[in-house]
Amino acid sequence: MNPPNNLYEIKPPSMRRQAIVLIFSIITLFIIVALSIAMGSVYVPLDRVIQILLYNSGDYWENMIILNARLPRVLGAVLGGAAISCAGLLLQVYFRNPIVDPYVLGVSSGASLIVAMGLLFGVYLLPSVIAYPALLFGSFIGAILVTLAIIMVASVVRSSTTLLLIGLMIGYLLRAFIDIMITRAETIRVHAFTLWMYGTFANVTWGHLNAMIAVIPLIIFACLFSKPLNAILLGEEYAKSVGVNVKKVRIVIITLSALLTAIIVTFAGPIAFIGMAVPHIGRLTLKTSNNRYLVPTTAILGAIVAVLCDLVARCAFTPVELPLSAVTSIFGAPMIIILLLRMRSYVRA
Amino acid sequence: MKIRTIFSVILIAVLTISFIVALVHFKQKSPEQSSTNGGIEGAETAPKSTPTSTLERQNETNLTGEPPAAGNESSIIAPSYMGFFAPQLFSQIPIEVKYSKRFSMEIYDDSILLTDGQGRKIALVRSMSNVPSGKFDAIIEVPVKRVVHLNEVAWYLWTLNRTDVLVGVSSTNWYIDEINRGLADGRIIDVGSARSPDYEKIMNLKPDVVFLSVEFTGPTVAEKLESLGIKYVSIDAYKEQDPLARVEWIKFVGAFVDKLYEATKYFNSVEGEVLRITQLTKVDSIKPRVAYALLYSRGISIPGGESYHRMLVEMVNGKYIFDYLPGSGYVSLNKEEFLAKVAEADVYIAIYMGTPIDRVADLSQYVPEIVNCKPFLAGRVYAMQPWFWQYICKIDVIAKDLAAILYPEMFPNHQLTMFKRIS
Amino acid sequence: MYEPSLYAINLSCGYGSKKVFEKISIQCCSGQMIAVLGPNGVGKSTLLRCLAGLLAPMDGVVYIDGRELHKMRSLEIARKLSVVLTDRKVDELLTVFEIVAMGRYPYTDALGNLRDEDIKVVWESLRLVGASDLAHRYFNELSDGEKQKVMLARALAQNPRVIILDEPTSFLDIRNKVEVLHILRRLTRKMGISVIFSTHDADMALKLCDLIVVMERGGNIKFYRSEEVLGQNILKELYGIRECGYNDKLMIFEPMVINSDKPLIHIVSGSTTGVPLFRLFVKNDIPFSVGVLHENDVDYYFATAIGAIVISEKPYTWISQQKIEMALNLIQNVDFVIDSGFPVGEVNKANIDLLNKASSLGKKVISLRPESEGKKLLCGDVIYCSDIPSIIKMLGNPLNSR
Repeated sequence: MNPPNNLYEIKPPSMRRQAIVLIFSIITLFIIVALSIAMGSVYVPLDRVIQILLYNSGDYWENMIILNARLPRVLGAVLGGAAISCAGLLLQVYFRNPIVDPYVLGVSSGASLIVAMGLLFGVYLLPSVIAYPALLFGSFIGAILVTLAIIMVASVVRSSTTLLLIGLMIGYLLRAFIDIMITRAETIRVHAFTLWMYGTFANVTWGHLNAMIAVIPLIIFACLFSKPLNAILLGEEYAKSVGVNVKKVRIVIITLSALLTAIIVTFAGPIAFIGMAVPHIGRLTLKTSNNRYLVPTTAILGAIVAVLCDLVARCAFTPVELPLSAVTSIFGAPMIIILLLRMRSYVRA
Repeated sequence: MKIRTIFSVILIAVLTISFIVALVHFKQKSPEQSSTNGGIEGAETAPKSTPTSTLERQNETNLTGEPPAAGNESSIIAPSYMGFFAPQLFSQIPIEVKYSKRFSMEIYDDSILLTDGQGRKIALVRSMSNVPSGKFDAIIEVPVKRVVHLNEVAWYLWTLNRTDVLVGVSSTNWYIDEINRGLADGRIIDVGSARSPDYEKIMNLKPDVVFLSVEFTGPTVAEKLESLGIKYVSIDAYKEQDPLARVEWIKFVGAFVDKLYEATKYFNSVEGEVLRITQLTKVDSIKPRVAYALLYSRGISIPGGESYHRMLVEMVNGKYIFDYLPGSGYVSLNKEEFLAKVAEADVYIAIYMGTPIDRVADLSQYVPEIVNCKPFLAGRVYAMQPWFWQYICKIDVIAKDLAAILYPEMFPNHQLTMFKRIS
Repeated sequence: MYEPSLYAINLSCGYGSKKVFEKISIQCCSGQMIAVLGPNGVGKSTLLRCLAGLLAPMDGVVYIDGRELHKMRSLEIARKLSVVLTDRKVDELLTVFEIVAMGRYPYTDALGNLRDEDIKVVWESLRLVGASDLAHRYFNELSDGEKQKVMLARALAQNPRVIILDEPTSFLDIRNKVEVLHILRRLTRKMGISVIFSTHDADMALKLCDLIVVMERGGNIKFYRSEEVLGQNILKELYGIRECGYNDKLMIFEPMVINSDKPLIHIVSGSTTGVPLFRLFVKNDIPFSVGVLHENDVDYYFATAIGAIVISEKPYTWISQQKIEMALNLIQNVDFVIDSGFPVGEVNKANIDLLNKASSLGKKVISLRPESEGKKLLCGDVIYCSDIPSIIKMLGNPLNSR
């Protein structure tokens, strides 16, 4: 194939594909969100749903169900799915490692540690008014402390593999403390904690959403950061040779990813699988690793997966709610396997 | 191109499946809806199931045991309002909180102010137009007519004959007939597990109040209910270690259903019974040594020295051989220490926590050497009945059972109801 | 043409506290192609990375276009200097075009949008390396040689004045090696870009480069013009090769050498006919002697490189009687004499006499000459073989006993 004479034909055919996939995903997101609001364990007819959403009228309880029980949950899933998958993508790009998930640096372990301390031992000592906010706050602080530790390490080490290992070790260490606490705590409370560890969007309220909105500017920033992200894909040395300020970019990526993770883990707990898998789904459907298209598409795909899994988790065996992490894995893993088998050149040994 | 097609196909398949599943459950809802007169726009009260006489109802239960002693509420026909507006009656039977440290009650002319297990201030009023001044975490009109119960233990409403106000319960095995019947009829709805309930269902039931135990469910559920505008009250009875304190919560619950007076009377009667038994068993001889344990595949859990079980044992003047263990929760013990201690005990009682215990083999599968210990050789091995945790109110029955277990020669004809002997 | 574009003064570099090399000064002018040679581990990669700005020096300064390299921002450096490293593992779904377009990073805006000008440069870079038809394929799917060319195109897209390459020809097959080096050569000649690279293909490097930098163990560094290297035993000493025969004029490395036992066979040859025989016997560890060869004969170079015992005559001179006597002395002690079928001319017809004398001495003479020709020249009992495998059969025992 000779270079085309007309420079404007340069767009490789895949770019059209990427635009199509992006638009398709956005449309799918809207459909899924609409479905998720309309469906639930309590039947509310569709016209009433629309009426409530638009005019805020109707029966008090229906209103409450749609606006206070379902809507915040669905919106939480949208934000949560987008944030976590973005966080996972950022780390996969930086570490050039396909099996990295956003919890690999120990951020969720930091949050879990504080939550464990609260749920297993402490939080009941506080008056209930501040008990729950204290739990949230503490969980966020835990995540941020680990983030800070990781950033300090990141500015000192030379190789990304070292950073990854240190993050893993921090995660193991914290989890060890959590395990010790579990054996010392009462069985009943341990069960409550285990439930938290599965992750769920069920407890997201409008107040929480006010805080979770913070992930939107972070995701937008990640989308605009695609130039250095692409450069890092070739490795830190090549990135540096091509003009990237590697130290700065490293810190930005880690901070971005850790913040996204921290926010979501605080409000929804550690949700498995989405962070690691959705970037792969994104790459395999877009057929590119070019982060310019990959970052926004991953965010939207993450939102779709999260909302879908949340819907299934609450509707499939109602009134029992399935753990969200289980649903995400059950849906996601086979999908990834199929996609990978179709595209065998994706990961070369 | 192809992958996109596959992706879309999978997506649509997933959507369809979840849609179908949701549809199936909606279909299941329809008969329920009709029986409760429509989920949302229905009547507000569930039909009452009034028993003809309370004595009859007692016999209907699958409890084979002696009913509570004299002072049975069935002999009192007090007008419902007397619980509130007759303080002069209270001077005869003082309503106070004697044992429990986790709730408090203040009774006024037109309201009752409660502090629940989480320290929240609850005001119970007759009508919302007459609300006392001050800041409250929840203001509830009483008597409540629709209650969702997320607690799985300590079934006070049943003891007070007010299971009719129940519209929703959490998923668990219920050993209470009224509830099982209600669930079968569709009068009572299963709202999912207590720690992650189906909020939509709860909201659909439009409860006046939700009873839960924040200690059990975790603060997330309470927070969510609050944000949904559903009033809740935390009944943390299971944190009480004193057995009588646990029963005392019946007064708390009674205030909600206009049965405060009856609750007090019931409590006084069982308290009296328990004290009597304690007296009876206070003999000078050596106290029988009792071992309590929960055996399961992952280990051996022993209630600590400050736990409810120890209090039960001491209530009948036994000696809890694990009383040196710290705390009020369960402590994990290693096998040698466990066996050494059980070998010294006279009686062994197995705690029920979900898995059935019918024979000694159910215990010895975890710790085979246990069959050589004294209680097993002497045949004094007992297990809690599965309904034990839901019948905690019947502390008098429990006390009698324990007394009979520990001092068989004193109560030779007693039939065990809360425990059973296993061999 | 000869203003220096990149130079380093008293450069010392290392990792952590360990210095790999110290006080190196190096200078590179525009349009120069410089090869860095040296044994493994001596610090070539470190030097190149330091010059490229990827590694901070412990001591000394690197200047590029008159400015201190390590004080410049990465972006500024990237506009002047680009690198190609050995690491070609990219586990991502990127097309060749996208990878080469990354070379435009220093010139594009914050979002990385490619302008027409950038696109033109990308295509041009691809054309220069001959990878235009690979543009829309995934990088992962390319062969090693193609990948290397693409990375080179990427380096070119940065519009550099200097390209630094770390072992660009390793892991490539001979064709790709040559292609890559040719491309580099063209870049220096046509576009005035300076190229500094390290390699183990010393012979290739010497033939294509202007300047050779030799890093020796122990921290010494020497500079040669490539013409100077020819004719000196630099390479053999440099790499510390002992078990290898080497001829530095032709830069032939022969990996196997005869041990200095007494020769068992004597070969009479010339004009490349003896080479396969030499190789055969060296492989089977059979010591042999050769004679008489002229010193400008290719066989002579080979035989001396291998370390055989050689009787040689001066170039363009008739073989003297004295030399024949010496050869006969050798023949006395062997059992076999082989005639490799060399062309006979005026200056070396004495070798035919040598063969005849050998057969009259009772030695077994084996000839690779066609029988018809051989009968005219040789007398006596001569066994004629048509090719090497028959010789092996003939010799049977001595070969087997080895």
